Amino acid sequence: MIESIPEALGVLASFDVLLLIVAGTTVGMTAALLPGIGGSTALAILIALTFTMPPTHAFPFLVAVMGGTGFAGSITSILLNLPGEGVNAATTLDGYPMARSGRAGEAIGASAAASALGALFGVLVLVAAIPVVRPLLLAVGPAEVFALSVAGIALISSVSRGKMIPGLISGAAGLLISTVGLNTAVGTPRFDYGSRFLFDGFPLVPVIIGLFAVPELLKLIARKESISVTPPETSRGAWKGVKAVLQRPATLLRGSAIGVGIGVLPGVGAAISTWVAYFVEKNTSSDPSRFGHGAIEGVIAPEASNDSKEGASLIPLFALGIPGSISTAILMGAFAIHGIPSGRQMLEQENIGLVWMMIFALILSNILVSSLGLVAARPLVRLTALPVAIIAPIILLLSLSGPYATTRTFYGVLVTVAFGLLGIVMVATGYPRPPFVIGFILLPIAERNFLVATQVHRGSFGFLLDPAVLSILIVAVLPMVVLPLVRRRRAQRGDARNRESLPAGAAEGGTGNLPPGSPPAPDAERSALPDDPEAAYSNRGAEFVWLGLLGLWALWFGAETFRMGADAALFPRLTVVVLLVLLVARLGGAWRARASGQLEAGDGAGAFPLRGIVYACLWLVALPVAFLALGILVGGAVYAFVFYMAHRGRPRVATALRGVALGAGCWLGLYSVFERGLNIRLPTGWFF
Amino acid sequence: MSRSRVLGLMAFFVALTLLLAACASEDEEVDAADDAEEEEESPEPDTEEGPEEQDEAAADDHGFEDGDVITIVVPSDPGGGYDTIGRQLQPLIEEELADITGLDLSVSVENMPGAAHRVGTEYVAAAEPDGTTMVFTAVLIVSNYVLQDVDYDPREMTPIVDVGTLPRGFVIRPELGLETLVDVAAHSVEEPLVVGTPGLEAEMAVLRELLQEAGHELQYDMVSYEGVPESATALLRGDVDLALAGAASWVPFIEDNPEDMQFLVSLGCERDEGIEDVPSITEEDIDTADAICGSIGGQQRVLVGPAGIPPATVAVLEEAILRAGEDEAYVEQTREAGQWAPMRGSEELRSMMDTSLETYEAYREEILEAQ
Repeated sequence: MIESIPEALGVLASFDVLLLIVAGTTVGMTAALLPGIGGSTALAILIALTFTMPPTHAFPFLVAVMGGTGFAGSITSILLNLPGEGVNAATTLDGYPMARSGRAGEAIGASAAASALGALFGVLVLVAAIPVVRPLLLAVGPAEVFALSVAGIALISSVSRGKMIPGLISGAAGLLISTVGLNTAVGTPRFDYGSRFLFDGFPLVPVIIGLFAVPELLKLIARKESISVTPPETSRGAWKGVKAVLQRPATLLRGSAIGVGIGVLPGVGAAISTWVAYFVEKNTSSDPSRFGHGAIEGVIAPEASNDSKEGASLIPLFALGIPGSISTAILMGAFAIHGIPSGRQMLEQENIGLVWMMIFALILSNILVSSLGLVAARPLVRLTALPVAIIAPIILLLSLSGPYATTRTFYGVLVTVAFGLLGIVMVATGYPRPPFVIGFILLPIAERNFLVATQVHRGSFGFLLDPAVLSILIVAVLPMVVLPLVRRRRAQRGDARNRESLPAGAAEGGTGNLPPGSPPAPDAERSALPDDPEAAYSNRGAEFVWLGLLGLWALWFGAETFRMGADAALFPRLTVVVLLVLLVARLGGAWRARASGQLEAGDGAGAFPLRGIVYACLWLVALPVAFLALGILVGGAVYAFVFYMAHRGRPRVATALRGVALGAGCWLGLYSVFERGLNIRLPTGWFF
Repeated sequence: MSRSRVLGLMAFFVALTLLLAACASEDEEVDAADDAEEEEESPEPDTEEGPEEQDEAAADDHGFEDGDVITIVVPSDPGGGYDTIGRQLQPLIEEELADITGLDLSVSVENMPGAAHRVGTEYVAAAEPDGTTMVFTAVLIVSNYVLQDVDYDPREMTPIVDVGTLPRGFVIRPELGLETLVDVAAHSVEEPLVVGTPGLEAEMAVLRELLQEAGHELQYDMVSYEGVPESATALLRGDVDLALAGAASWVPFIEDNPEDMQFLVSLGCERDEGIEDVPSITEEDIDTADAICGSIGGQQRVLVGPAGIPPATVAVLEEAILRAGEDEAYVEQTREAGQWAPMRGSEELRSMMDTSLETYEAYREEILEAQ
């Protein structure tokens, strides 16, 4: 096996192959910067280019595209709070607060270094594991994946630390909404009401963009401020981030190991590995309250996990001939076109050279993309200082045109807007969004594997008593459920001792619920942000309306389940029961708190800038209207121009010219990327 | 900035845009008028032409114009079999169309995934029947119509080309010691088998009914997987006894794991070129074998347009695509990927779609029950 390395390196060192690796990395990086497009779409489109290439050129190129996408998606997550793909969403939690406090360069540097080193870790594990991993992979079947998914869902309880009941309610809402659409295990569409769009459920990327990017953007519009509230640190920021990664080897290793562990399991869903890495890091931290406020570990862990999984996802491809991710599935299709076998036959003498070439190309592209990121960090951080008149329409256009490209219909745009409004409600009422996303991603995996395991066992649930399944459930679930409860109890004891010195309303949320205006914690890394994105806008009146709507929705879906078969109804019904119990618990808790005088009605009311956010929502809704009326290209350009003019102060010829330049730039950007680059025809509108 | 000035600027910009649009419209009208004049100047076609001249005249009636974009809608995500073949064919069809029509036509592949091909198919069904939009789909165009509430009727849509049929086959665990589908059916009566399938529940239901009609009872429990790789892993793990899927998709897994899985039978009407050692179902003692292979024996990849595309337009498209399918590199690459059957024209495709429709309508209740 090793004797083929020099030959593989020799081919890789040729000018044309190196050029293809650079080109692939660049294309992958560019695609990953576009929300909703992502590496797998770019890979699929680029496969056509490789039909006429020899395999020694085609596969290093395709693998370089894969490698190029890993780190790049984190750039928009950090700078714009706009995750390129589902896997980058966890990075927004601390990356964006870092950008807000002028530390964007440091976050990009940390992400670049963590990505490169994580990828290297993944590749090393790949090389070491291929000969021995086959029995392990075959031992993990649907029952074990179900148990692992349940462990992931249990993570919601630890994610919700400090806001246990609201967090669990968010998680349950995410679980329930994920049941919309076809249940592939039993072939039954649920809650689709005959709609061909709801038939497939809600697509992940528009949901994540809506929940995370849109509310933060609307806040910027409402306040008419730049992303960075303090001047961005442009000099040496990126290197500070690199240094931070090197100083935290345990964080890097934990994140990478989680990425490999989850990435190696086919069908588990890569998006979850970054969330697990983030929350494991938070739970193991000596000061978890820093997370969500710009803790650099909150960038390092998910990014190391994200990139280490790329190498890991190749393990089942080489060991079993089974793709571990969408990208490797596309790669497997390319193998077939080129007449190259997958699985163990790839490791035979005639193909092993190609395997080594792919491994080295993956390493090269990861190093290349991270280096490009470090070089580009300095100009990129300046984006965070752009006035809202320029940056907001650009982010909104990316936020809504990316989902269009994902679904090729306006459905993606509507889902983004709808979940954006939901995100605003969740922020306004103090309900955390990460549990929602974790529930949304994991329930379909858990449910599908549960039903498949049941079918394999001819309708019996006996597999739940399998020692491996039981062990996973006990080892993984119990600590996640018990530890937060123990911590909460400890915190309550501490609170009881210190209650007199705490401000009203802060008792439930601990440090995460500090009201606006509270002095920042004495921690050098905590961002001096003017608000806490998840908590500060807590508004009791709005919360009760929100809970009421959730209750009605749960009852409605609960009633619908009685029209379904038992298999299709099982998980939605369970989720409805859990959600209703949690809603009752929340309302009961609020009632008791009010009775004991610990909770004042309308606590936090007024902190939410209602007028400003309504104004911003109107701008949000105006963009899809512009798309429908004028088409995405012209509508986007006109929207950018009008937005600029409305937010840029006195109208002068120079201002108007700059507005026209912005509109033209948006038009050109959308046209060149979507229509020319990706061959995605953007629709015209009613008038154009 | 005062509000009136903003409004003034907006009005100016809108007016400018409208003016530009109006200019573009005028240009189009001028172009259209020029075209009309050219048409008037061209001589009337001779009605007493020979066959060759008639063919040429028919070719001129195709309705395409310089600069037209012909869109092949792939109703699934990028990267799958349909997408890959669509993108392989795209430049070849473009070249052949230019050769046949003498026009500068371009071909574009657009993915429109969703609802098991429904989103893309309904989009195409609602498109103008001018030959510039077609969907690259499967027999799902028929089964979705029979089993779901869709916005099209496959009997009215315009068949263009059957791009190729992928034979289906059963793969079995060797330790079961079963050699034929008849053996499998007999064994299943004593001990029901667990069958894994990536989305072919309807086909399994049809197979069970057709075997039943031939006097072979097949008893099984179904496990639904999301793709062949997942199905193959289940077979390797021993979770299922046998699996039904596209034969070509199984070749790499069987070659990699010959001790754990082997082909039992191909459901094609003849032995398939890529798996010549595997017997066809027609070699077994099953009276309904022809009906089985004719209805569910293969996974068709078909190009279909909206209802009402003029025959001359269909003829041009059909010829261009069939010619594209003869390209040596294309043939070699698609064979490597397991598509061994040649392309077939619109008439054969019409007949194939009608047969599929009859089968699905005949077994609709059984399929719905199985799902």
